[in-house]
Amino acid sequence: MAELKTRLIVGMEIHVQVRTASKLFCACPVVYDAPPNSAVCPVCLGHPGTLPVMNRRAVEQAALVGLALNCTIAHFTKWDRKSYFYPDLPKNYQISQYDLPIARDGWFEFPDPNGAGSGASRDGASPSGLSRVRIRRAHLEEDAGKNLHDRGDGSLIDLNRAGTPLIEIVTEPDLHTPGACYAFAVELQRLMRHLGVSDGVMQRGQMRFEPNVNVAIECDGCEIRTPIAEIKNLNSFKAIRNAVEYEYGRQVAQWRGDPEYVIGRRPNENRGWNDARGLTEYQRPKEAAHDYRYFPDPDLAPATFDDAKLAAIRARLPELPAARVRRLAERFGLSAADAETIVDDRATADLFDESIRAGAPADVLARQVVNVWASLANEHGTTVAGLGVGAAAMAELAEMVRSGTVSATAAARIAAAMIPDADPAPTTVTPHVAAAEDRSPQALAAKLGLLQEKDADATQAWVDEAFRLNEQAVRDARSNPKKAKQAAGFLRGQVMKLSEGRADPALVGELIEKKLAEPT
Amino acid sequence: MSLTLEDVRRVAHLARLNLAEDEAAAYVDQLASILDYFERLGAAPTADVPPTVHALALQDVLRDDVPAAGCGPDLALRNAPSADQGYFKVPKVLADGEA
Repeated sequence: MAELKTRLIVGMEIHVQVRTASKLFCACPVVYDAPPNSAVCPVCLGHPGTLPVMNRRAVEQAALVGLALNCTIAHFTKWDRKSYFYPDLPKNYQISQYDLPIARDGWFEFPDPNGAGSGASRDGASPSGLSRVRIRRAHLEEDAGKNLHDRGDGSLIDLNRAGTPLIEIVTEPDLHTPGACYAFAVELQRLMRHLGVSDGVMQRGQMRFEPNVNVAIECDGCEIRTPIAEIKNLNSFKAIRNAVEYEYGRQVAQWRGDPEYVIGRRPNENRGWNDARGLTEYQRPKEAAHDYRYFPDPDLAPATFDDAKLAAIRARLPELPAARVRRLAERFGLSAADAETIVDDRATADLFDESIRAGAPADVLARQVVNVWASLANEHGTTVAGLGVGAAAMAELAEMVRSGTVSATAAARIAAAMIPDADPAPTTVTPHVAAAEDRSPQALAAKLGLLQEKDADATQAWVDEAFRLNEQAVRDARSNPKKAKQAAGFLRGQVMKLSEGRADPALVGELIEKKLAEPT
Repeated sequence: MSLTLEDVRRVAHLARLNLAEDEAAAYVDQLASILDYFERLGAAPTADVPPTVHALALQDVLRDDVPAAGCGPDLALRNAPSADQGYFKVPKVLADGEA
């Protein structure tokens, strides 16, 4: 067989749960993990004679997403009924949007691991050095309830999720590598969190990605395309990458075995990702849009967006994550990875900016946020902003390291004690007193005895002690050229340890060098 | 308007209707005559009329995002033909829908 040239083609469909207090068409609360059927009413149970009334917040959030995706927002948008015969939506239709979605014709940029433009088509690299994917549309629809299979002889239905708001985003088929699919998904999650539209927790189904995958195969001078497979049940970024990668190989292999495996001659299909086995499994042929028999929902009034309404929503658009990462990297010289860590959570990024305004030196602050605050947040099961430490206090701590008032190591201990519910000094006798104590970094540094010791005599004493305790290292540093550098470094570390992080590293280095040069 | 038995079977399947042989045959003629009647609308001059996308003259009927308690699980399940541990119970469903 002639050599094959293949090209992966992926368009993404994404369902995003909109964080609202109530459902899309009724006032039932939006809940997670609540007892089954505890957040339902006649409307979301699909009882006859009920009428849906649209949630304003959900409509506005959908428009906000559309604007963030650089879409055109419809001046006039309406909802349609889509035939749906599963018991998790008992009306027998889903309220969705067909021909007049809230948003259409936009684009979205993401940092492509393979280099800008390599994993995304057409526009290739955008002026910003990111890859660009065109957005076909974004619309607002209702979610279904949950089916529990494998429970005895029937299926069990919980309708708490039925009727909760979802934004469905559809991209053009502009993704061309599994890595680009992964990076796109990560950046889209970051966007949704930044907009405050969704928490985007994939394990909870708050963001559901469905790649539509096929392959262009060039063979003997002509190009064929395989049928499109839509992959379901992806609940992690890794699953997205692995499923797309698997499907790429599977479709090429299937075409090799069956020359009729070509779009139009074999049906498009839905496939499910089996994470345990690492493969996609056939589910059913995909229905064409006309099979859903959409028609306008006569119970819901259309919604309109005039210029004033749109301007008000546009005013709520924050600086978007990709732009924010770029700004932090360019203005403060941060690495892209550090900038992304900070920007991952919008409140944390806001805290970072506020802290800079409060006078924090950017480089020290960035190191502390990424290394110290982020790991403390991890320990406390929250975000950096969720730790409850204010911008001014963070700025003060960063400044103390810059000015040499405390060492970076000492600053990490102070940071841990700055957290409101942390015990500032676990060795103190009376916790009642501790609770009421001053948590400013300056006060904690003094209390914990971490203020940098600039006094030469005290530092000399630690150096002498380190030399006395580490004779081998001293010998190596003095007379073993192979180990001299390493041994001197070891001694510096020992001095810092003896001083419990209080010694001034520059002074320590100076005194060690002097002492090593002394005749023995 | 010509309609085939095939068309009727297909539409019936999409609506999840089980039609008997004679029913399907009868619907071919009945549906065709309904569609023929609607064809008459094609004669109306509509070149200058904007398309009607919705039957209601209303727009922007929206409510604030304020939650209120629903009817509770007991009442919700009271009319269910079958229930189990607070869930509606239905004949086994093989796959999830695609809402």
